[in-house]
Amino acid sequence: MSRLSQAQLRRLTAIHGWSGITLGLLLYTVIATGTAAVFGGEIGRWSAGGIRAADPLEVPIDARIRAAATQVDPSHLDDIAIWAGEGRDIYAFFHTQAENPGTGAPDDLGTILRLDATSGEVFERNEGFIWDQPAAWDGSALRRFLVDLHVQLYMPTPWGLIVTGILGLAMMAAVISGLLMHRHLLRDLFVAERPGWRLVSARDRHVLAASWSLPFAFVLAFTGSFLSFASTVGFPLLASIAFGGDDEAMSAALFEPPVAEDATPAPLADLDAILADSRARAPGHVTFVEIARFGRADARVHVWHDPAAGGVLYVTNLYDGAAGTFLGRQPQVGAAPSVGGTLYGLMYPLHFGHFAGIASRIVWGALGVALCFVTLSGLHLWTRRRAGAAVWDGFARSVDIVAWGLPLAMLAAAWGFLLSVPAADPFVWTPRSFVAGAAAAIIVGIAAPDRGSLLPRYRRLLGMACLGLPILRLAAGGMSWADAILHRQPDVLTVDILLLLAGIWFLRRRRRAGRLALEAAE
Amino acid sequence: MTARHTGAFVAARRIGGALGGVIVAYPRAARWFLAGPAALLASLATMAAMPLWLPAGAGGVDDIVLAVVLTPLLWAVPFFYACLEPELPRCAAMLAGLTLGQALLVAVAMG
Repeated sequence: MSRLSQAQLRRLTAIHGWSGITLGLLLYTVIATGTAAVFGGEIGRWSAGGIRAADPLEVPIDARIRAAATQVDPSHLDDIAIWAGEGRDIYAFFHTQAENPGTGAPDDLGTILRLDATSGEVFERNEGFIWDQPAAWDGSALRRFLVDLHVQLYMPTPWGLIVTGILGLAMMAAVISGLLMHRHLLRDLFVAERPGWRLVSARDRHVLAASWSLPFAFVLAFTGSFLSFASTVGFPLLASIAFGGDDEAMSAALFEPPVAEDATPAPLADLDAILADSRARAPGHVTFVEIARFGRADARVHVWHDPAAGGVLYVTNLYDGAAGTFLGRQPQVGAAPSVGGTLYGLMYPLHFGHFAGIASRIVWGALGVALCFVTLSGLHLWTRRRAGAAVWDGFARSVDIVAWGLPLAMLAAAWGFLLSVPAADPFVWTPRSFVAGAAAAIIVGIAAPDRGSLLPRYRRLLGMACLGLPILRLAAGGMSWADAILHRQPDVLTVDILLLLAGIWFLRRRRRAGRLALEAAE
Repeated sequence: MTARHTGAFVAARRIGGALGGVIVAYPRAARWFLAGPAALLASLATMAAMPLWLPAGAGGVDDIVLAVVLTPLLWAVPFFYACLEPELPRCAAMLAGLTLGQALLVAVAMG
């Protein structure tokens, strides 16, 4: 397939190898945590969810929002954001814009209430610059930690986003160079592993997994680097050039259709009727509701829906807040549908993989696991070709430690979360437990006499960590299996069963340990 | 063409010739530079200038949104071009022309 010269192929091989070697371990971390984040909803429900008969945004919420609006500072009624919690709860964030003294930039200042959507009982109330307080707007510290680790490697903003953006570009460099290097792409899609656990067998495995996951890897790398760089580099740069540095003017031009200002007091139309009408026009689940200028004649209600069956893009319906009339379907960006708006809208569902519900997320999760394998097998190939050199032997062991230590540390974070829920702050103890788990994995990896003995040790630890989690969740007051079955809460039961199966699999599958020992000795 | 223009043209040719000599003398370092900082600068300059030459489209936002959405490609194209182009002086001229042209547009628009 390739018509490149030998020199060009050598350069592509160098790009492919070195982009993996220098950033491969961080890339593996981002991919593995991203694979977990694809199931963020399930992880949130498993770790912090309560019993619910229906999605909280599917039950009547009009009276709840009106009652809550009387309990907040009137200046916070500029904008109300509403989304579902993990149980029967909804979050209602009443806010306005103000300069955040912590960052010096405009930010959302207001009051956030966590309410029972059914009874209206207020579970929690927080005020201030809410996005600085994750505990105020996310019920699951475990899900929040895993997502933060994926999005910005738990580093401060914007540096973490810039690092993950660079990782996305490195992944794209590896994908494109891998594609150009392929001489027999179609044949490689069906390559059979050569027997004997030799170097060529490892190469066959790498090529097979990489060939099948090539389009997916490109999509993830492209959308991931876009998501990282858009807010840190792209929009600020373009705001300074096209809008004289006025971020708010650019945001208004892109995301907020112009509305003739009318501050005349006017009650909000029936929110439940608006949501019912929106559901009739867009069959996907309601995921987010925004009420702009509550209590005024120029109020607007945006209703976001998951993509409908057969669609990929999110749907946003726009309503006149005072009259309750449907104003039309709101494009993702701009005043009318456009090429840029469609491409922008595609970035999110293609990265998160939730455009077709649980089915597409399972596919995305499986491809994420395949990409983890591609990254690690590529690193192993590189180190096996250089076996015998002290530096590369040490690096090979580091690859093993990170490969097995990362899932162990993620499980340790879950343990820390569940242990701290009854008596301490999970938003503090979840990341600390991750660090403790990572430190334990590193100690185990360094203490092992050789690489061959690493795998059985990690398998035992992973097996025990998986098996213990459902028990710990129940002991920490989580939903019982009986309640989960009785009230049809499949998330909790499914995650528990998958953890138990994974635990048994890790403890029973020792055969490959011998195979790794052989590779190490080769 | 005035004498001043002719002088600038001669000076530019001289600088270009000297840079071409350096590139030919140190091809590996030159390719590193072109695929690294030069490709990055070219992509940033293109992104910054796109709102100035790209039509806004039906939604009135394509000039901004496409510049952001296409960020990864804006980097990948000059990066792989710098990696694969056999003639390094030509690659340097292309990237320099692209970067300076776009930067000039931005400078004029902001000036």
